[in-house]
Amino acid sequence: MRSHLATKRLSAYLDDELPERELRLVEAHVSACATCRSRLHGLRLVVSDLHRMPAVEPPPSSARSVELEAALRWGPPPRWTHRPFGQRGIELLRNLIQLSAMTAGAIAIIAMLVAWNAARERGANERSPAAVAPEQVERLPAEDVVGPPAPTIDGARYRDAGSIATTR
Amino acid sequence: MNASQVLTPPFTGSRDLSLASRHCYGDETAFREIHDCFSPMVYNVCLRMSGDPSRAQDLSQEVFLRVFKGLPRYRGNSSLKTWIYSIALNHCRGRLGRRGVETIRLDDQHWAQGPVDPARGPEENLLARDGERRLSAALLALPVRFREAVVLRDLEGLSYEEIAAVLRVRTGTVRSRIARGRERLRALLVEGNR
Repeated sequence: MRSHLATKRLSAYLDDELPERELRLVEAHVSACATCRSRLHGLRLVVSDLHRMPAVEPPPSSARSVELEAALRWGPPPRWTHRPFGQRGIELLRNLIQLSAMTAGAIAIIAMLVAWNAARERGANERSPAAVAPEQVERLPAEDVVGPPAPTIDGARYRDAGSIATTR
Repeated sequence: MNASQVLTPPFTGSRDLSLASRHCYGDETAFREIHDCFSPMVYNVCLRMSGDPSRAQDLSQEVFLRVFKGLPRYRGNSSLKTWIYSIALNHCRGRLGRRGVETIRLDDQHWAQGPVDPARGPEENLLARDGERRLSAALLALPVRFREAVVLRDLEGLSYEEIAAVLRVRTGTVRSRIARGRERLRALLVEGNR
């Protein structure tokens, strides 16, 4: 026993919304199948009854009442304004200039902050000598150094000592 | 001259955008044109979704408030008709909850006072009204997602693609919802006749 047609297909058939090939298939099936023929008839009755239902005349209402209600709820409606030819381009250019100016300003502020931070760190380093690298320490002249005199290197003494060692 | 006589719905393409931009530039007549043209459509959708004429009137007013506020954001990606349908259904869904209806008014006087067709006799008119009343009640008993699809297709006459755009779903989903909605309607009407 072959299966029956889906309601979806029968309904689309009534609306003439099936492709030609499917349409022919449905027609062939319905002519041979009493169940599907009866279902199709039932659907057709419903559809024709719905189509016969008259549209109801709406009670009188005016657009003015809607406008007044809208004004009461939200105030005057926002309105567009006419813009002469070319104004859109000028506005775009103005926006671009504003955007670039803002970007440049932001970059300048960031650069100033970075420079200020670097200067502050340098100042802090100068105040703490321990942190100064040995090669950066300025060598003082010998006469300014307080304390016992630094031992002087007597080259002749070493020379003599070497000669003694070699003679041993 | 009435604006609804001048315009032929649905507006399409540049006309929709032009109306929206006229409204946004402060032309008060633009919104009136939109309101006059689309108010029957919005009211009927709200009525089919809520099942209550007075509620539908309130919902319809609120939908147009949202349209009025939202027009500056309309970009013309869909037609104004689709856009307004979308707002209306979203609003109904939000206000009526998951079930989509507060009470099913089977004996509502509104349904008994439908338009009279002079070509039919009084008995036929009575039967037709009774049929409409039962159909409306069955429609209100459908789950919201099926009701939306059936209302848009069979009462408002939108195409599958338009319904997909309004509900923001795929065309296959629309097809499935319409079919299931119709099938349930049929079952409800059969049950009602027993």
